[in-house]
Amino acid sequence: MAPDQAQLLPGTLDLLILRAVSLGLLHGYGILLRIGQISGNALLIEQGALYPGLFRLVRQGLLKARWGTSDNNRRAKFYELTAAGRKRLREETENWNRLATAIRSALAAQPEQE
Amino acid sequence: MKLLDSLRFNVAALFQRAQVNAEMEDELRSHIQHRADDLERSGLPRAEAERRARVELGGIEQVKERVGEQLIGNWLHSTVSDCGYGLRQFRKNPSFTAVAVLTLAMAIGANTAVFSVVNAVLLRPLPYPDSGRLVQIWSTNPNTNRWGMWTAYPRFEDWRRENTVFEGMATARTWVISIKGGDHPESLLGVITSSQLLQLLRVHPMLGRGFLPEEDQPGHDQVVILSYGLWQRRFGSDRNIIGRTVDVGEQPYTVIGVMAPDFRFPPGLAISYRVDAWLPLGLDPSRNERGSNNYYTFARLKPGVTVAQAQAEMDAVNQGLAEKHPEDRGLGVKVVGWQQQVGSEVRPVLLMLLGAISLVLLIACANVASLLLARGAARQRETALRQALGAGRARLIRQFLTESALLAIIGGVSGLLLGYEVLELFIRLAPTFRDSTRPRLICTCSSSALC
Repeated sequence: MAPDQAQLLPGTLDLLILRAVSLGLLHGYGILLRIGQISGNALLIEQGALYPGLFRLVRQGLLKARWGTSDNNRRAKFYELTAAGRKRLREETENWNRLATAIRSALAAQPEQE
Repeated sequence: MKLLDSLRFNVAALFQRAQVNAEMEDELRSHIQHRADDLERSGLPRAEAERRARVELGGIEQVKERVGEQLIGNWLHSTVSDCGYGLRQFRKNPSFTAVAVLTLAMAIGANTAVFSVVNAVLLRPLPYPDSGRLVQIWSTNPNTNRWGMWTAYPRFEDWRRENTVFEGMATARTWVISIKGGDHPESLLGVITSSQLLQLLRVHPMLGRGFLPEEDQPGHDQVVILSYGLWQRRFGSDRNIIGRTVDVGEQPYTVIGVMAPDFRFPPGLAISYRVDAWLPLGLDPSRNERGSNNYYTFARLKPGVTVAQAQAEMDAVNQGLAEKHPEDRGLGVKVVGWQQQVGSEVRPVLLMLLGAISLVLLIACANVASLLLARGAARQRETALRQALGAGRARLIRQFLTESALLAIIGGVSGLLLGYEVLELFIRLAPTFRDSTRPRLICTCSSSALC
């Protein structure tokens, strides 16, 4: 792990995948690259964990997948958001922001002055 | 129907697994190619790039396993393959398997047999609904401090008329009869009973009806209820038997009912004394003699009445009777919970036996557990290898649990067979204890759990 990379909190991988896919049709490896790019390479994603995550999201009907041809002229499975996926992404983003704000203000709290 | 549905569902899941696996494999290969393209662009030779891409992904099989864990059919699939693997392991190690299975089988078998007897004798001694409220009523002789005497019918009638604590009372005595007609006359054990018998026990005949109150009187008494066994044996299970006459002794009796195969009255009678027919009171010429204590009396407590309350009331009733009837002087009365009465002599012995045999089961389980532990230590290499090949921790634990469960099931089934044999032996030794093969599953389950 590079020193400036943070380990993912449990449950956040799904959110990142949804976000990456919301920016355009992507295949699995593309999603990894996209997450790296949009997070400024600050998040470490274990490659092997991506596919169980994708499988789970497709099962839940948040993503749909189809086979196509990539820029490298190779066969690849492409993912895009479904309507349910877009809705989930919106909700999860709000949730996350609320949580992050709360934690940030909790950590920034100063001892009370006498 | 339900079984079929679930079967179809699981087969579909297995099929789905194969499809998901194939597609996942394609996708992962595509991933490796794309990654290798990138690495190659950064200057690595193609072969090295592909190798590195594979390492970064962490192995196609491992990823597939993790995806497969989400499948519904996965549980079934991996359990089936675990069982197959477990069985192969057992075959590879026959002495371990034989010792473990034999230990379990003997412990479970002994437990099953003893518990079956305890269950039949102590826990469910009366095969009637709501039998907790059934009591026996004995005459006693306070002078000799003897109790357990039977009662004369007139005394029973007085008890029945004057008490307020019982919902119903009935009385019975055994009576040997001979049945004629057909190829050969046959001597049978019958029971003469007052008309309330079946109502009191809350049992219905399988065919026909029970006795009517007027059949307690001579002149209406030429009716008979047959046991299932007699009906089958002597009347060829004829469903039209009701209303036909049978010669009992010299008289024609009308068949009014046939009891179900599991009906037993009196309960706890040895099988060799199987009762074949129930007859009405009017038949007994001595029934009006106050001195002939031939009747066995039982009753059902009204809801909320305790045995002690019933005893107090019956004492008072009995006091009154002693003043009116000289024959009753010097006789007391004793009310006993019927369930407590049955098997009361053998209770301590049986409980001790049950305790001892439970310890045997515990010891057997401990032995098998330490055998399994020893084997687990010997299999560390195998475990390490499987881990390296991508088996998760939870998956390995499940594999070992499956093997243990398999062992417990094999032991349990052999235990059942053994227990059945032992129980047969018990029954041959003491024919009174003839009941219930049901509790065995409990034994098997508990011992499996212990493993």
